[in-house]
Amino acid sequence: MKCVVCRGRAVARLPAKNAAFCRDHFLAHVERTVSETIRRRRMIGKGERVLVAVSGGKDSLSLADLLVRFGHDVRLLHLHLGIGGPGGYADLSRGFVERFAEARGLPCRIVAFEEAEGWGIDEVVRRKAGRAPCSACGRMKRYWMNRAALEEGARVVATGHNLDDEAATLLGNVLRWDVESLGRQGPLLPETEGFARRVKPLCLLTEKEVALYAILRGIAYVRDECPHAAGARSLFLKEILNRLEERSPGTKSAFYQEFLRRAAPRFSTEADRPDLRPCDRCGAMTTSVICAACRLRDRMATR
Amino acid sequence: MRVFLNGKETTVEGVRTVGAVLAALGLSPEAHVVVRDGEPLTEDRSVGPGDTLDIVRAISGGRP
Repeated sequence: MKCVVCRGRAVARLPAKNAAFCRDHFLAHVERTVSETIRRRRMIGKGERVLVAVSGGKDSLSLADLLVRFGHDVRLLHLHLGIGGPGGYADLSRGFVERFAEARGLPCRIVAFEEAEGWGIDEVVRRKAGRAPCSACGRMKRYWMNRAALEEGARVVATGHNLDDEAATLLGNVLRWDVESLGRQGPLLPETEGFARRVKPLCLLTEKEVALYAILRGIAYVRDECPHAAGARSLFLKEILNRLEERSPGTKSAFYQEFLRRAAPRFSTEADRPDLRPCDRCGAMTTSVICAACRLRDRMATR
Repeated sequence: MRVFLNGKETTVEGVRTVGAVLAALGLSPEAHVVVRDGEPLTEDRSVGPGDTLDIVRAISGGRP
């Protein structure tokens, strides 16, 4: 198979784009796709500090690598989730982040849930304080990403969500007709009082493209799956979407991009958003009296 | 040839295309990258005895 640009040997075939690329032209394709996404959607302004939330996985480390290449003011944030005990999943993940940061001389803040909250996600599971660990985990990650952004003077938080992530989330929301989530889902959440802007620069790259990028750039990342993710619904939805994609290349991209263009505006109106006010406990902005993170903290304290 | 998938080693016989190896193992091409000696291989490439393949699973995550 030959690179469509230079006819050299291809290392990546992208059926959705009817293309194949050699190493150099694949890397150029990825850089172009991400920089265009950032530009078109005004994700990061000139000189704006970006807090990149890095898990140690291929998506977030590839994202950080790309933003540094583009010359952005990047700070890393790693959340040690307290999963897997000594030498386990969370420790391994942190190791990859630390080595990545050190190799590039990037400032990296590490927040360990066990220290910051007194408990990690393994403890949440043990005490069954959340219906599913993924939900509790996501809520605490979002709290800390926003708090760290405010503390580090970053106006933007960037996460490594890719096209497969976004399409699976979209499919899950559609299957339940969760109109509130459909009204909020997208590659950019604007900053509001107490909340940094949240962006997903990798949203048009498939998970496979990101994996290829990490491999070709020699970025070492944690390949283990989170032990709590086994059987998680989003993985199943991704498999379904990949079957559709194999039958009809371009399905995931059309599903997501056409949703954003044509359907998203119908689901969200500014008027629908309830007012934000400070949480009675921690001061973080919330639509309720007590924010979701504090509600989880309350549950953890009473079990 | 030796094939590593998620840290586990299996063996696949014969000379085949990468696409055929994935199919034989029941793996989706959309979700996996096949690497030999650090180089990603497209599905048309031929692999056989003496090769060591690392099959990288691209799909991850566990959000509701």
